[in-house]
Amino acid sequence: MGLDAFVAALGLLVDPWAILIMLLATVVGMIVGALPGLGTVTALAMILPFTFVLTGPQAIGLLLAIYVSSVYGGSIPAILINVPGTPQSAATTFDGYPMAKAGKAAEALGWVTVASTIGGIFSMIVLVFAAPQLAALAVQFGSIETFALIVFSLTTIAWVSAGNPLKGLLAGVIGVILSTVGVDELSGADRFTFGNFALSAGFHVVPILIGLFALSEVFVTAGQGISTTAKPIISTGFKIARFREWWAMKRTILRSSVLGTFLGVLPGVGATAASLIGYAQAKSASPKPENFGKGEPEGIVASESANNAVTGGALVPTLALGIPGDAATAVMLGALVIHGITPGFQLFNRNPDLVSFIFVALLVANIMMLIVGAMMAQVFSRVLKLPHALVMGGVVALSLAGSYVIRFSILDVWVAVMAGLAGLLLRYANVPLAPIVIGFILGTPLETNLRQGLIVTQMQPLKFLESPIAVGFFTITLIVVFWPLLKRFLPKRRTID
Amino acid sequence: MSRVVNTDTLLGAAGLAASAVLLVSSYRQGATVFLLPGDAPPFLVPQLFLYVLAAISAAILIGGLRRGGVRLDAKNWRAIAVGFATVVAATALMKPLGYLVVAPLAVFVTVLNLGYRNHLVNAAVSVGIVALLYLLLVSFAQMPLPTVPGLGI
Repeated sequence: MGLDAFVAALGLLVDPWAILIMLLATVVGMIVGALPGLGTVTALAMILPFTFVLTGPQAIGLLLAIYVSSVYGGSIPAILINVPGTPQSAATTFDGYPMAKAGKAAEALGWVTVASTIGGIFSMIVLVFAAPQLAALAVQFGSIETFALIVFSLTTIAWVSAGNPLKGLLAGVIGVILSTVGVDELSGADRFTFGNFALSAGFHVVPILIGLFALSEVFVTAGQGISTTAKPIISTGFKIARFREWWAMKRTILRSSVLGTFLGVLPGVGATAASLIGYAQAKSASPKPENFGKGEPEGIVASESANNAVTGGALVPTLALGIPGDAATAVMLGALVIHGITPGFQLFNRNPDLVSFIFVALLVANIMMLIVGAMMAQVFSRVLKLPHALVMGGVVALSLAGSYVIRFSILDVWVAVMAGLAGLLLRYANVPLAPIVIGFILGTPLETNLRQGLIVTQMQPLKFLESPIAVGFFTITLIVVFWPLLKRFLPKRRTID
Repeated sequence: MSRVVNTDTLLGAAGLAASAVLLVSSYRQGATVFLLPGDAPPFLVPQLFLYVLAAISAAILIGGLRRGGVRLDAKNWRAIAVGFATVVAATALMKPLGYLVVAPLAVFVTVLNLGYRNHLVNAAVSVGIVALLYLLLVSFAQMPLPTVPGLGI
């Protein structure tokens, strides 16, 4: 990032509205992240309609602040009530709750907040250096290479998502098929509209997101019932440890931040895996592994710096290639496109000020997370006392309004309702929902590039294999898909007790 | 019974049925499209992915029949049905009655359905949330929501 671009980015941030919006978004993101069952993607989906009246930089600032702070927000209930607000904070419960029970909730929140900020800023620095390099590499990509890259990303995300890989793949395929509904841009043919003129414009990503993540959560909550006995919330505060104690954790912080950033760049791995791997690595490297799980601050630091480091890592392929690393960055990508910003080399080439703004906004979002987290720790313990039924009521009101205002069409509300029902049934069938969104967002570029590639090769798909880059991506895709079979033929390692 | 009717068999069967219906539709619609020589057909990608959907659904169905799956009986289906019906009714009535009438009712019934029994707080929160959203979206963001007939709000 050049100095001129950096100064220009700061100029965009001087807009007091941008700062105010980011500050509010940080608070909202923390609250939604702290409420168990909602999470980062739901927070982004519900806030997306509000970005339509904002300028591009304001919208980007808002979404980045929500993204970063909601990942952090999940750790608050993990410490205070032993329930992670988001899956990314599951590993934080291992040592966070024992610390809180031992009367050290304020210290635990201090460790979490600062570790999250360090992880987030570390990954932002990597993003600044890695994204332009990757974007420059993408210049060599034509339609065939881009198609192969999308196939690789989509397959990997779906295959490694969660539980049964086949179900992950099924979800990704559903997403791609949904993206083909409406008038085909190349031929003008109606596809799967069944004579309904309103469907000609195709589905919009926001109602699908709202239905899959927000409304389905309301239905799932109805299905499982809400416990009337509230979990006891440990009284809290905020206390940052001394520098000496932080310095003793430097290896753990660095290891987890590197791990989180690297895993964030890889498609489909995500923050949950990063925090668990970060925790496991810290435990195995510790001279006192027996202390882990009993209120060891190093466990909290390991998981939180890893899961927040994913944020910058996942933005590397999103900004450089237009390929999201997870569901949250898929929503971010969708939002950028809605605001007329197309990620990839052209973005870096033609709009360096905006790219620099994204980097600076990510830095500011992390610093705001630290400040707001420190100042409002006491408030968040009260938020957790809110009856969950009332929160779900708010989700219904927001879903109805949010899906309508996208295109001022009642059809979009129906799409959200049906997506909510589908989300409920798919959750019961253990089908991950994130690949549907990623498939939907990548579906259009996948189709466009495949068809352009076929036109270029005069309808001979085997000619795709003349591109070494495409062959590389197809080979890795096949290895990922057939890895469970390949593993059977590899010699088994002996396990050490 | 769980060997035949379980989440995996139902998912597989639904996926197969959907892919069959959409494939038939795509071939019917595709036959009416005029293509220039060298053009990639508009239904190429949907059909490709529908065949993949059918194959994956068949694999899940067979897996469900062989291994059995999770039975769908440990849920409060009545509460789910009420929750879904509430949102469906709200969607159907939003245009004719307006957001400010329908949304508070939908929120109130949803919260009630989820077991919250303090009706006064429920009513206040239902009206409050909807009013706040309305102010944010309509007054602040200039994004109109369906209006109440005769009132214009």
